[in-house]
Parts: sequence; structure tokens; C-alpha cells
Amino acid sequence: MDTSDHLTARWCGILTLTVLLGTFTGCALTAKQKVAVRQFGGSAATLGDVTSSELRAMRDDTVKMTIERLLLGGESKDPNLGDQTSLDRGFEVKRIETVSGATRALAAYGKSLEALVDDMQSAELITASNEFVASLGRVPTMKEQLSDKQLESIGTVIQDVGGFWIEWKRKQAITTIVKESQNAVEHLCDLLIRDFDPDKGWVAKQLQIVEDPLMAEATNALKDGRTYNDRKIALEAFQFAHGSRMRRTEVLKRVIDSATAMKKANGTLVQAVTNSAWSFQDIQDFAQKSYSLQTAVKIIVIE
Amino acid sequence: MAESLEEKLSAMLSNITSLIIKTKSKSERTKLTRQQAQIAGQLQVLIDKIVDKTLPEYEAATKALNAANAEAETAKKELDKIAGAIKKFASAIDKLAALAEKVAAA
Repeated sequence: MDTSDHLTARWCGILTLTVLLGTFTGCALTAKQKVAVRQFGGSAATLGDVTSSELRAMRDDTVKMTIERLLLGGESKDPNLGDQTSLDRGFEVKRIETVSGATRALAAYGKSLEALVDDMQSAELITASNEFVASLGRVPTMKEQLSDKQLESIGTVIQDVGGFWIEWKRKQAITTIVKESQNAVEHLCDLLIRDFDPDKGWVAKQLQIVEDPLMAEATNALKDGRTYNDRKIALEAFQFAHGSRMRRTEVLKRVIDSATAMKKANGTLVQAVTNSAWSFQDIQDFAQKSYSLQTAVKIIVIE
Repeated sequence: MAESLEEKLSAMLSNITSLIIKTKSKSERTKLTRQQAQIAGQLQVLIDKIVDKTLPEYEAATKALNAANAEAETAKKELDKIAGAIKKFASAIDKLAALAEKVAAA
């Protein structure tokens, strides 16, 4: 073995040892930690996206139900009832934009975590190190001093060191972001749990304000209807009220179930990335709840 | 825990709907429908007050999460940068090699 071979081998050995030491001393996320971050991120994205689209659907329901109520019962003469032709009353654009702004930010947070944990850099790193080695091989003096095997070893070292640096930065970024967002995520979960409660929250009551008067008008129209057409119109109104009631009971319940599970899983995720003792159960439970929400919405939309 | 006023009005709305469904008399139903509209109006006023207090809380949560998302975006770009840096080195070496060839030929 000549001097340059000996030196290359020594450097490769030192760098490989550094990478291995770094990996085993916790400078990178473990496979289990990555799975936890990915699953949490995916579930957060589902909860955020579904809740945002459901809020828009509730606004659409409100407009449809108000139109139907006005068609069936006409405008009330009671001056205390305010402007009854305001079709989106209770789910105005400003309200929906503000609440869904938060749920969309939650979805983006989940997607950001997924993007950070997914390894898109390895392939790029291989291409870059190949280009580097090829360039090095084109330098006349290097061509004379280094064999192909030595150049290949340099490429491997670049990939290892680059990969190590990426994994170290990845862990640092995820840990910081998860820890810094802990309170904001928890607070948003609390807001969803409070406001989307099917019994006590304002979202359910806002739907009920539109839904119950429509049920009353539809009942009157059905009872007083004489023709097939009268009854058909009444039943269409019932259908709108029924769809809204499904959202009010089934979807809202699942939103708060998911938000409750997310709050717990968020605490677990902080523990997971900071390496203290943690259980995968809470994160899996959150994944299950957000999947249940997504499934319920699909059923209601198909209905 | 005592029921809040919103909960009481909400229960009244549901109860009146049930009564309307059961009532055969048209005039009774009309009266109930009118009362229900008034209760819905009162509940709307209460809900508006609650929501007005709630919206700033959502705005604060959005701001905090957007800050985290911006940080994540920067971190992701940092991770992608390493391969780019190695490519820049490769291109610099190519330029140096070309220069060395020109110097040698001169």
C-alpha cells in the first residue's frame, strides 16, 4: 500500500467512525422517532384539512337552509329578528376565514413535519457526490495521484458526511419546531374541543339556529301540503336539515375526538423527539381518530 | 354544573321543533314557529358575542403555527442545501481544471 492509499484509508476510517458514533449517540432521529413524526404529521394534516373543508360545507349548508326556510315560510314580520335575508348569517366569510385559517395552519404544520422527516436529500446527495468525484477526476494532477478506487472512496465519504450532517440538522430542526409549537398546537386543540363540542360549542348551536327553524317550516309544509309537489318541496327542505344535523352530531363529535387525541399525541411527540420515555399508543390513537373523521365526512358527503 | 343560557335556548329550540312535529293544529304550529324564530334570534345574539371573543384566539393560534411553518420551510431548504453546495464545489473544480489546462498549454 503506497502513502496516498494509506492516507485515504485512514481518513475514510476516521470519518466512518465519526458518522457511526454520531448515529449511535443520538445525533440523528431513530427509525421509530421518524415513524412517530410522520404519523403525527399525517394525522394533523387530515384533521386540519377535513375541519377546514367541513367549515366551508357548514357555510354552504347555512346558505341553502336559509334559502329553503325563506321559500317555505317567507320573511317574518317581527322587527326584532334582524335582517333575515342575510343568507350566510352565523357562518359569514370573516368567521369562516378566521377559524379555517387556524385549521389550515394546523394542516400545513402536519405537512411541514412530514416533509422535514421524509428523506428527499439522499438521492440528491449521491448525484452531487458523483459530480464532485467526476470533477476531481478531470483535474490533471488529481488524475495522476488518485486511483479510481480512491476517488470512489472520496465519494462515499462525502455521502456519509453529508448524510450525517443532514440527519443531524433534521433532528435539530424537528426537535426545535415540535418543542416551540407545543403550546400553540395544544391551544388550538383546546379551542377546537371547546367550540366544536356538539352539545356546548358555538359551531353546533350556530347550525341549530338555522336547522331547527327549517325543520319547523318543512314540517308545516309537509302537514299542510296537498299535492305531490308540495310534499316534494317539503321533503327537499328536510333533506337539507338532515344533512346539517349529520354534520352537527357526527362530524363535530369526531373533530373533538381527534383534537383531544391530538393534544395527547402532541405531548407524546415532544417526549419522542427529545428522547425521553414515550409510548407510540397516543400517536396511533390520534391517527385512528383522524381517520374516523375523514371516513365519517366521506359517508355524509356521499349521502 | 348549571346549564348556560345558550344551552337553555338551544334545548328550547329542539323542544319546539318536536312540538311542531307532534301538533296537528295549524294555528298552534304557526304560534310555535313564531316563538321558535324569536328564540333563534335571541340565541344568535348570544352566539355572536361568544364568537367575537373567540376569533382573536384563532388568529393568535394561526400566527403561532404559521411561524412554526415558516421555520420548518427554512429548515427544509437548509437540508436541501448540502447537495447544492457539493455541486457548486464540483463546478468550481471543473473551472479550475479548465484554467489549469489553459495555463499548461500557454
